[in-house]
Amino acid sequence: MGRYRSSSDGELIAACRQDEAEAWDELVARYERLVYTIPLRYGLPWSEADDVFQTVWMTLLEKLPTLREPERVSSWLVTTARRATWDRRRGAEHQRTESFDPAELPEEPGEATPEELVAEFQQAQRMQEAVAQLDERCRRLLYFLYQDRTTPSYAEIAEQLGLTTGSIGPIRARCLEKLRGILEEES
Amino acid sequence: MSDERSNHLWLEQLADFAEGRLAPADVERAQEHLSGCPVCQEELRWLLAMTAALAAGPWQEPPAAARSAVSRAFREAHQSVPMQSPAVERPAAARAGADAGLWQQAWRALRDTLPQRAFQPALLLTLAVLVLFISIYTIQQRQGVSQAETAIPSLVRGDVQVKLAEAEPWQAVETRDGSPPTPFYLHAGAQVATGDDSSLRLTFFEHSETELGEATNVVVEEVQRVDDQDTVALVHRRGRLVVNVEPERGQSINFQIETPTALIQVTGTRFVVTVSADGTTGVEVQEGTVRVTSETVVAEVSAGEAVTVRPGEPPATVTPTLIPQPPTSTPSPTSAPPANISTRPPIIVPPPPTKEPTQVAPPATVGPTPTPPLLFLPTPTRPPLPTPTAVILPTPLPTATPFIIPTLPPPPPTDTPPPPPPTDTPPPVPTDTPPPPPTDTPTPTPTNTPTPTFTHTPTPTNTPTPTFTPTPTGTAAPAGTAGPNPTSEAGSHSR
Repeated sequence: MGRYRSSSDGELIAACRQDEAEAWDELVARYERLVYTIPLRYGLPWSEADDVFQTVWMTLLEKLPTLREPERVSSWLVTTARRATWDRRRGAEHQRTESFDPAELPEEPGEATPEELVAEFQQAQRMQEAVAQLDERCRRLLYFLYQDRTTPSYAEIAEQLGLTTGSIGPIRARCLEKLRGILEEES
Repeated sequence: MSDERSNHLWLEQLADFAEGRLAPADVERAQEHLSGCPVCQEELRWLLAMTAALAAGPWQEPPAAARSAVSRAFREAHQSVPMQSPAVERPAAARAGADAGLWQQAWRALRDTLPQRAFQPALLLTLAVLVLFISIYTIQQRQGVSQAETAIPSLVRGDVQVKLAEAEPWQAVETRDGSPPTPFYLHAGAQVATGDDSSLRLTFFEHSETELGEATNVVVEEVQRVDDQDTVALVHRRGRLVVNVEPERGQSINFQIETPTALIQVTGTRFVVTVSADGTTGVEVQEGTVRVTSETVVAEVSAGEAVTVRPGEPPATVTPTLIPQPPTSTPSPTSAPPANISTRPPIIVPPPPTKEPTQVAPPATVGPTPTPPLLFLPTPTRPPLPTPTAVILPTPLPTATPFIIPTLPPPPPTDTPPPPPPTDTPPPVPTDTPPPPPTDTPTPTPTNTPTPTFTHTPTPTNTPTPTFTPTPTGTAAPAGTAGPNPTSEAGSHSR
């Protein structure tokens, strides 16, 4: 799979058309979280998210020879995943999957465009990688501050990390600066 | 830029401001400065974008079964490509083929060397029996284990994947008429996952069985026999398990199942465990008695009763309720239902909450951000924010857009109301969106919509380890490698 690690999406599609299973695996690895999370965000239970996930990739497999803009396969995946999700929710799974070109789908108002969602996804990936490079204290502090769903108070965080309440603020600023440094370095 | 530098707000102040932690007087000062300082506005915008990206909901990894199905589909569609993912399948099959070839060769060799008339039924029978014995022997040799302290899979149906140990890859279980082609055993540490419309049975110590329903994930944590005491411990992560516990003759068995919210212990009974996506555990007992523990609360559940344990709810909610349909079998004599349970009014067991999230209509385009209230910034006239020269997060973040809320929430740190427990119906969604600004109206994307499906899973990579990091206690900043020290005079603006 490593062979295609740095290939562009378009190159991966081209390789898939040449029966390169490794390219396919790389494509799946690249976007599996994107595809799988969409139905979950729409509130489908796990088991149905699994179905949507497989439906999307099977559809891609089918469309592979005729996919019009290979470089934009990520957006195509988003649209297809949304479509499959809506079909599930409507319980009309089999009604519309036949003649189905995601490009024809109307955007729902107020919804992120596929491009925006892909950008968010890629950014989250970058963010995750950047956070992973931070030292443990920063990672934990940022987790408690911004990711912990129980929204612990400063006092609770301080206790968890063995810090004083007053030091949380300055350390947080430093950790955010470090994170910015890492992200800047990469881009 | 440089002449105003000393007046700029520090990142620390901005973060406090964004999180509503500044004292009221400081809030006013900060607002005043921000309204006239594009640099700090940009800084704040960056900060909000970054913290929003941090707080965005996790991107979930699909189950291995779904992934490998997709991988397999490609290879099936592009026939000539060899299968790679479930690596272990191949060798096993190849080996079986090689063995068969060997026997054929041996047979031919034998036939060629023996005179024709030697092929009489008796001889054939003897040879067949011999071959059978040797085959069984070699299979057992190959496994190299006794069957006693293992889970034995059978009745494999559909897509079933196993992970023989933590470090092993997931592999698909090949089936032939419901049985694995080569018998195999699961030891402690193995993990089994079923796909949709799939199932299998695991047998422990001859008589105790669990049937994994579809989309079920179970870890075999312990299978052990010490003298006449057998122990089976399973970790049931999701899906449905039908359990039938029966000690082997002369043995006693301790059978326990750990779910995300409860521990279920058995000593000889039949019951069904369901684990929903959010960890909610349902236990229906058909025969005998089961002990269900949630944190510190213990409930004895008898035949014909059921309990539901929801995550995040006080353990007191472990309340046995009656199963709608009467139990067909009598409870085992050793475990009469306790008085307090049988006196409870018959309550219909509510349907498992798995489907509830589907009611949540609005699509959440950005993950839930119940954490800090990020969106308040005073820019009454909303001057266009200058495009920064060094954008850290190059993609435009939706969260950064709704920038204008003149009124600030009170700054004390205890401002944010705790989010409701995950099992509750999600908080009202659309009303959370910040009111559009009075002057110009950017359409704010509904960034605040919480998606209840995520609440139980923190991003795995960021999960803090429980070990404490000893650190200096003062405000003095230790080991500032990259970031400037905010407590010092020099501006903490890096730009």
